[in-house]
Amino acid sequence: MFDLLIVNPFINALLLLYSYIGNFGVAIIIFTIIVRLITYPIMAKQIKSGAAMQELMASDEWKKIQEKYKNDKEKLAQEQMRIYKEKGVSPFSSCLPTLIQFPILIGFYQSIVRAIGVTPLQMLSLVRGIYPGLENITPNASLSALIPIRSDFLWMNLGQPEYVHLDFLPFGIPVLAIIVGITTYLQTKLTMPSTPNSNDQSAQMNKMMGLYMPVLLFYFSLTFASGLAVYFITSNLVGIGQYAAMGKVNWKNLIPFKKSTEVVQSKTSRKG
Amino acid sequence: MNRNLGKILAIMSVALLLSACGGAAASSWPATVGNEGTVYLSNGRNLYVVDAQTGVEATLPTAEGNQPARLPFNADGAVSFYAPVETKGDLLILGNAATKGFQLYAIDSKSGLVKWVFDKATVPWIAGVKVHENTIFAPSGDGNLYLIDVETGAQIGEPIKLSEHSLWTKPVSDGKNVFIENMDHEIFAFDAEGNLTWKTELDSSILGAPLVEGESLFVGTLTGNLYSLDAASGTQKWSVDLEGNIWSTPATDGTSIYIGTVIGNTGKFYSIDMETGTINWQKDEPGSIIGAPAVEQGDIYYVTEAGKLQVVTNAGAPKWQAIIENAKYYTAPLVMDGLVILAPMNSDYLLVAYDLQGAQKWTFTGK
Repeated sequence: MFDLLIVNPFINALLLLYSYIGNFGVAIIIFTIIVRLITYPIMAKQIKSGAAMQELMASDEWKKIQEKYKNDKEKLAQEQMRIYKEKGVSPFSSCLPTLIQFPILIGFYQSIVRAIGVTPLQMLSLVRGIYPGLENITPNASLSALIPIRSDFLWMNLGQPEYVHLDFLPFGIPVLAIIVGITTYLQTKLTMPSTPNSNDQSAQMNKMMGLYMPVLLFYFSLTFASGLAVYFITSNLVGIGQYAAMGKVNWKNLIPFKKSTEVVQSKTSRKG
Repeated sequence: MNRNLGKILAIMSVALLLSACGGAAASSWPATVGNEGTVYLSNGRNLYVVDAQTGVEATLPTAEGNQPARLPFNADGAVSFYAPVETKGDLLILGNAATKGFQLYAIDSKSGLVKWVFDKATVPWIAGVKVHENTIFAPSGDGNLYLIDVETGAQIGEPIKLSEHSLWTKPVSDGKNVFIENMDHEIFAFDAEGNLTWKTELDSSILGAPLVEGESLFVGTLTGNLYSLDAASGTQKWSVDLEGNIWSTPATDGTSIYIGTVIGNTGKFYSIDMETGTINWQKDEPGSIIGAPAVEQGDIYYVTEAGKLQVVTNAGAPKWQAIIENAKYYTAPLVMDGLVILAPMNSDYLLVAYDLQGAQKWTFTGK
């Protein structure tokens, strides 16, 4: 069902794009941008809801109940719900858009992997997923014209993990995986909201995420087809661009060991 | 907190997704080869060696005593085998499909140890290789055809670039030329020295090796066209448009050509006149036919993705069938020594053998 509703439409859209462009790497980049643009309203809603939650958690009222009921979890939960209601903030409103995006992102990921098809089994799955009517749109989308998909892009084979081999080095350099790691780090850092209290659970979690995600995606890019790395990089850069367009990029987070202005201000005001 | 929950879910999903898709190598279907009473099964991390009559796994003496012959014993790094092994005397030759190393191994079948390694390829090996007059014709995943000395593993001359894409099919020979195709719709003939004899372009990708019979080649394409070509010149004799995609090598009984097709998740099996290309008969199948058929004593054996082995007469009359629930067959049936031996996927068995009347004789689980 997931294939029918999500993966196959994505594969066919990707292939259609490829049939016009003739370059699968460029097709991945353009399709990633299109998908990110389509999901932008969901993301914008998520950012907005997240900001509202952030604001709420930074409020004096919130801090007061945290302090007052720190030993009574049940009462604390009741009070939190009361504040949510009063302020019109839903604790799930920033989570729900993320959940809605999942099938899209997962489907997109699977469609790239399947379209690259590096083994006969994967190719069989790809051929089965191609709509018979695709070639009616353009002859370039016929089975004989589409298969095999040209997997070379710049210096890479999109179906294989990427390494640049230099004559004077005994090993290859995973350039794309490094770029994935850097752009993921940048995206995580830049889109992370300033947290009033850097010691709270939320800030700790964000910090962990900022380290974990780049390492995880670096490892994936090192191991899997470089077509995926192209997707990760494009997605990261477009994501940063979208946050920047909304004025939500937090450049201060890029400076290591530097406490954000809000934190300093918050501590100053507490002393006062 | 909610934002974090989202991120955690995202990470878990991505991790699950990606981990489900990979490992050392992208997986494919197993390959079997029969030689002198032995079945060689290339299936993931092992090349299994199994007695064809009994289904018992061979053992080889090692420093730790007798060990099951899951070869090679001394591979350097991760191995993954899906290509059919090529045998030459005591040597077993096959390429590594793992995403690192890209070795082509020559394994001594008596010791189970690697005799030599060819490591010039830059992409995993999908195709099997062919030994022709002491030269290995090795089509690689990097699109090159490597010519390699069978005794030493040394490369002969420069690699021949046949495609920008992977080469997936094992070359075949008529004793004079070696025939190999690529996914760019082309089929090539090389002499024993690796000189190009001829090249012919067909209508679409070729995913199954050609069948050599007499002075003809029979080869199917992804768009469902079956061609008869002159083996000496590559000139087309006839072609026939079949329903579906052709994934495998045809088989023949000397008068007809037999081939199955993939039509979505179903399939069709055809008998075609060898001289004219006229369809003799055709048979619908609820499962796709991906593996090549086999012919033995006038009967035709073919397998479907629905887990069925079907045996028919050369007139298309059903003789018997055997079904393994939930199994999938992609690998050609191996008919040898009075048995038909199958390599199912999605099954507890790595191999299952029937006699030619349909009675199950043995199974091999690899456990």
